Amino acid sequence: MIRFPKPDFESGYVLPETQTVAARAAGWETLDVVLLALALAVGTWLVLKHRRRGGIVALMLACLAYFGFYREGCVCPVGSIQNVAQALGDSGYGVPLVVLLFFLLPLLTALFFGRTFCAGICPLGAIQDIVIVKPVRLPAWLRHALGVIPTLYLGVALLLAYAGAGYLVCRYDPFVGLFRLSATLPMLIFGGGLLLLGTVVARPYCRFLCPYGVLLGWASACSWKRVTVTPNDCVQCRLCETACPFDAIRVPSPERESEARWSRVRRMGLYLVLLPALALAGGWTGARLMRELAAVDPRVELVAELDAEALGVKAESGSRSEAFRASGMSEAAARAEADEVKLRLHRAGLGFGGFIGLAVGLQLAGLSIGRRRVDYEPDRQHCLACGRCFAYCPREQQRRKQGSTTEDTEDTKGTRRLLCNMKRAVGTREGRS
Amino acid sequence: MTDNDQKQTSRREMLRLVGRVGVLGCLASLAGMLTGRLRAGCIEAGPACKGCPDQDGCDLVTPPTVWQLDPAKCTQCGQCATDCVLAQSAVRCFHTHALCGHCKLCFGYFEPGARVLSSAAENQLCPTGAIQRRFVEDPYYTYTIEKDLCIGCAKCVHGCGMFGNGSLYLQVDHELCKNCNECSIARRCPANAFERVPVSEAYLLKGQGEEEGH
Amino acid sequence: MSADRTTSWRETAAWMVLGVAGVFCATLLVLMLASVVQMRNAPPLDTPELQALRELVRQQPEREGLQAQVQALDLLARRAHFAGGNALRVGSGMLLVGLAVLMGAAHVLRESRVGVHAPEKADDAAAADTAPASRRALLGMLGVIVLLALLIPLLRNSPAPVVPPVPDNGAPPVEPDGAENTPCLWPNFRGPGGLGVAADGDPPLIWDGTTGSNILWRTAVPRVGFSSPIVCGNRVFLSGGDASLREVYCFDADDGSLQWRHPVTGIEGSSDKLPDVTDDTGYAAPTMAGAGGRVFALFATGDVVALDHAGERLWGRCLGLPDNPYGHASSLIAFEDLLFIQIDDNNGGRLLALNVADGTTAWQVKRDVEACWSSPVLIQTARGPELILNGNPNVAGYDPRSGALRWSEECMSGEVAVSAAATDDIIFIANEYAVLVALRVTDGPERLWEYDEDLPDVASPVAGAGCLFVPTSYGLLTCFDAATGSQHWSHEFDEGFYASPVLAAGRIYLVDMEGVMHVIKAGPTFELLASNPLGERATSTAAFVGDRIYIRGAKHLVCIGAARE
Repeated sequence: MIRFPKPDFESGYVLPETQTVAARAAGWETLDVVLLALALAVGTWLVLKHRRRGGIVALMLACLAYFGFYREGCVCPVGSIQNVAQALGDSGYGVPLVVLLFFLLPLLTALFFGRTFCAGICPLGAIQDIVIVKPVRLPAWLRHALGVIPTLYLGVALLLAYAGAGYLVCRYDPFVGLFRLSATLPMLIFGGGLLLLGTVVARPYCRFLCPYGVLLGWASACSWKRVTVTPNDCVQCRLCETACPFDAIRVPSPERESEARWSRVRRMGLYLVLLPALALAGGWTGARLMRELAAVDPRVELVAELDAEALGVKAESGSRSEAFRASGMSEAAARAEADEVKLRLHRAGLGFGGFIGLAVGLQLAGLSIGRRRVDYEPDRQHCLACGRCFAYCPREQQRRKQGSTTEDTEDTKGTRRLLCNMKRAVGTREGRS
Repeated sequence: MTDNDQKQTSRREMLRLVGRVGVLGCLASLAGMLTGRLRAGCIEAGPACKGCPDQDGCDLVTPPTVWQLDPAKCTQCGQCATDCVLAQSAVRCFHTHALCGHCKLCFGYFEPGARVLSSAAENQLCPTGAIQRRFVEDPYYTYTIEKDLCIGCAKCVHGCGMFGNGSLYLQVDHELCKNCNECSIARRCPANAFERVPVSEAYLLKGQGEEEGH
Repeated sequence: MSADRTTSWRETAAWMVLGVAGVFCATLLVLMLASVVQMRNAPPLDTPELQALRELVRQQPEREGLQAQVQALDLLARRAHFAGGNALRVGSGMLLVGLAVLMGAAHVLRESRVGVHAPEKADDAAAADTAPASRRALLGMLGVIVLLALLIPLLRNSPAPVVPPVPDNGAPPVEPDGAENTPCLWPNFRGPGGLGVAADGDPPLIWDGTTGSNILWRTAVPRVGFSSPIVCGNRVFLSGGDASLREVYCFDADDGSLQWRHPVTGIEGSSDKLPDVTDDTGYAAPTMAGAGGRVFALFATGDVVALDHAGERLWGRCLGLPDNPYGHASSLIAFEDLLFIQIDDNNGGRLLALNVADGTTAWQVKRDVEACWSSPVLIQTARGPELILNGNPNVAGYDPRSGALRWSEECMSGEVAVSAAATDDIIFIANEYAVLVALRVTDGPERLWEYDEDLPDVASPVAGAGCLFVPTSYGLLTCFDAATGSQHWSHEFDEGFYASPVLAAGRIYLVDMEGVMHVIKAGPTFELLASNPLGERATSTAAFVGDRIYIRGAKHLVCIGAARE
C-alpha cells in the first residue's frame, strides 16, 4: 500500500538497489552428489578390496569434514527419506533430483556391497565413530530389544512426513547442531550425551535410533557382495570375536544344539500362527499412536489453539490463531484440514503398525530357526563395514605380509606361526596389565 | 552334512537374490514415480512449476529448492528472530527503496511517540540500531539496513507496514541460510509464510517487476 | 626393552595431552554453558531496565541526563548481544579443536593398550543360545510400545474430573455411560413434548448470577446460538455456530466441563453456500432433540446430524438450504424411532420424519403454508399421540407414526413463530396479528374460546394449574383462565421476553432479554416470587431437570441449583 508517494528528488539522488546475495548455486548441489557417489565408490573399494582400516578412517575424516562441517548437514540421506515420503503423500511437493539421489545412492550401494555409507561417509556416523574409546559388548537380548526403536522411529518419521506434519528426523538430528556450531540447549545436551555414551556404547545413534540405517540394513541383508572378516578361509582362531565394537560379528553355532529341532519348529509355527494377532495389535497401536502424534502438525496445532481460546482455557490468543484470523480463512476449512491430517495419520498408522507387528513376528519366528554357522562372519544386516575386524584376522595379516590377493595359499604352517605369535603377544600384554 | 550345508547356503543365496531384486524394484518404481509424476505435469502449484511458463515446460526433475518468506503473508510476529537454528537468524529485513516514501518521520525507524526526530538511541525502534538514517534533501531521508546488525525481529517491518508504505519487509537471506531440510522457522511460522521455491527464484522482493499476485 | 620405553614415552605424552585437553574442554564447556544460560535467562536486548528508562524519557523529556543514560545502556546491551554471539561461535570452534585433540590422545592411548584381544574364557556358556532371551526382550519391547500408545493419550489430556452425582444436590441418578437407556429428561425445546412443563423436581427460587450464589457452574460456549440446552442423563447438549462453522457441544451436567465438541462438517450434499440469516436468528436457532442414546442437531444450513453421547457421528444429512427470510428456527422433536422436522419456508412447507437409526426419510408430508419459525409439539389425546404444528394460515394435527393429517384449522396469520401450549386434549395457540385460540382437538377441532389482544410474537405460551400464561416480546405477561379464556391478571415487566416460560414446581420461570429470570406463582393471582439476574443476556429457554436449571446466556451455559453444603 503506497501511503506516501515516492518523492521527486531534485538533488539527483539515485535510489540504491535492494542488495541480495544469491543462494548456494545449483552447481554446488551437483558437486555434492558427485562427491557422494565418488565417496561411496572409494569406500566400497576400501572395504571390499583394499581391506585397510586406515583408508576407511581417512575417508571418514574427509567426509566428516566436507558433508559435516563444511556442508553443515543438509540435505543428508538420513533426512532425505522424509522428502521422499512427503512427495508420496503430497502431489504438490516434488523431490529435487539432488535429494532423490541422496536417498537412492547409499541404498543401492548397500544393496550390492553392504553398508559402505555407514562405514565412512555418513557424517553422523563418523562423528560417533571417532569418539569410540572403550566399547562394551551389549547382550544379545538388549540389542534385539533396542533394535525395535529405529524401525519405530522410521515409521513415525515417514508417516508424519507423508501427512505433511513435518520432518521429525531433521528436527531431532543430534549432531547437525555440532556441525553448525549453533544448537539449542536441549539438542546440544542430546547430541553431547549421545557422544558421551558413544565412548562406551559404540555408535548409539546409528544402532538404536537411525531410521535410514533400518533401510540400509534391509538392503544390506540381501546384498550381493559383503564384508568378510577373513580374506579367505576362517581358521576359527576366535581372535576377531571381540573385534567388533558394534557386536555385529556372529560366532559359529555350537556343535551341540541347545534345543531339540522339533521344539524349535513347534515354537516357530506358534509364532507364525500368532502373526495376524501381532499385526492387528501393531495396527491398533500404530493408529492410536499416530492419532496422538498428529498434535505436532501445525494445522492440528492451530485448531487446538483455537479450541483452547474459545473455551477460555487460554486467555491470550496465540500468534498462530491471530495470524489465522488475519488470513480470513474459514474455521470450518481449517478444522476440516486438521481432521483430514488426523484421519490420514490414523489410517497410515494402522497400516504401518500392522507392518511392524508383522516384522517383529517374523523376527521372533526367525529367532527360532537354528541357523547353522560354521565361521565367524559379520551380520549382514548390522555390519557397518567399519573394517576394524580385518586386522584381527591372522589370515588377513598373512595376506598383507605376502602382499598377495585373497588367493588361498596352502601355507597353513605360516598361518599357525602367525597365530601363535599373536596369541603370545596378547598373553604378554595381558600379563603386564 | 556338508551337502546339507551347501544346500542351505544356496537356498539362502536364492532368497537373497529374490530380496535384492525386490528392493531394487521398489527403489526403481519409487524413483520412476517421483520423477515421472513431474513429467506428467501432476505437480500443480508446487515449486517445480513455479518458474515454468506452462506445465508442459516442467522439468523432468525438481530443481534444488530454498526457503522463501512471503512478505504478503508475514504477520511480523517476531518469531523469525528467535526460531532460526542460527544464533543470529537468517531472516533479515530488506528494503525496497523504490517503494519507500523517504519520510522524515519514519514509523519503521522511530519509536512511537518519539519527540525528537534524531537518531539518538532512545528514539530508535530497532533494538540493535541496524537502520541507518541519512538526509537526502528537505524533507526526505533515506533508510538503509545494516545487514550484520539486523536480527529479523520485524519491529520496523510492523511500523512501516502499519503506517507507511511497507517498503521494509522480511526475507530469508541466503547468504546465511543453511537451507535446512526442515526450516525451523517455517515449522513454527504462524502465518505459514514460508515455502520452498526453486533456487533461481530465491527472493521475493517487493516492487520487483510483476509481483506475485497475492 | 627399547620398544617398551618408546611406548611408555608415547603413553606419557598422550596422558599429558589428554589431561590438558580434558581440562581445557571442561573449562570451556562450563564457561559456554554459563554464558548460554545467562543469555537465555536475560537476553541483553530490550531489557526491562532499558524499556523502563525509555518510558521515563518519553514522560520527562526535559530531565537532564536521562537520554545519555538510555544511550549508554543501549550501547551496552547491543555490545553484550553481539559480543556474546561472537564469543559463543569462537568458543565452539575452540571446543571442537580441544575435543579433537582429546580424542586423538585417547586413540593413541587405546592403540598402545589394546592390540588384538585374547578371546574370553572358553565360552560354551557364552555361545549358548541367546535366542530365548532375545525373544523375551522383543516381546517385552512390544509390550512397552503398546503401553506407550495407551499412556500417551492419558498423559496428553488429563482425564476430565469425574464428579460422582450427589443425590441430595438434585442431580438425577444416571447410568455412568450414555447407553441406549439413558433417559433424556429434557429431550427437546421446552422439555417433554415441547409443552414447557417440567415433570417434577424443585428448582431453586433465588440465585444471583452476578455474585455466583446458587450458581453451580458457568461454562463458556464456544460459538453463539439461539438454541436451548437439552439434557440426557448427566450430559447437557447444545448447538452453536456461525458463518464459519456449526458445532454440537456436550457438557458434563455435574461440573460443566465441555466433554466434547463436534464440528458439523463434511456432510454429503451440503453446499458451501450459506443461507441469509439475521443476527437474531443465526445459524444455530433450532434446539436439539435427544432419544435412545442419540442426540440430533439441525442448523440453518439444513444440515442435520445424529451423534451418540460420546460425540461420534452416527449419520449426517443435508435437507437442502431452507429458503427462510430470517433463517431456519424450528426445533427438533423425536418420538419412538422418528425425528420430526418442520421446514416451512418460502417454497411451501413440509413435515419430515427421519428414521433415528440412519437418517433416512420415513415419511414426508407437504404443507400448504407460508414460512414460519414455530416448533412442533407432541400431545397425548384419546386417539393416541398427536403432533401439533403451528403455521400460517393453518394449525394442524398429524399422526406421528404415519404422518396422516388428522385435522387442520385455519386461524393464524402473520409471521408465525409461536408454538402451541396444551393441557390434555386442549391446545392453545396464538400469534401476533392473528388470535389467541383454545382448541379441543379430539373430536375435530372445536374452538373453545378466543382472545385477540396482547398476543405473543416470539415466546410461546405455557398452560398449567388451570391457567394459560402468555408472554410477549415487549414485556407483558398475561394470565388467562384455561377453560373460559377470561383474563386473571396481566403484568408488564421492564424487559421483553424471547425465551419461553416454563412451569416447574407450581411456578412460572420466565427469563427476560436482560437475563433476569422472574419467578411467578402459577395461579390466578399475580405474585412475583423472585427476580434473579443471570449476569448476562438470555434469549433461550432454560432446561429444568431435577432441582437444577440449565440456561444458556449470551456467552455461557449456566447451571443453577442449590449450592452444595
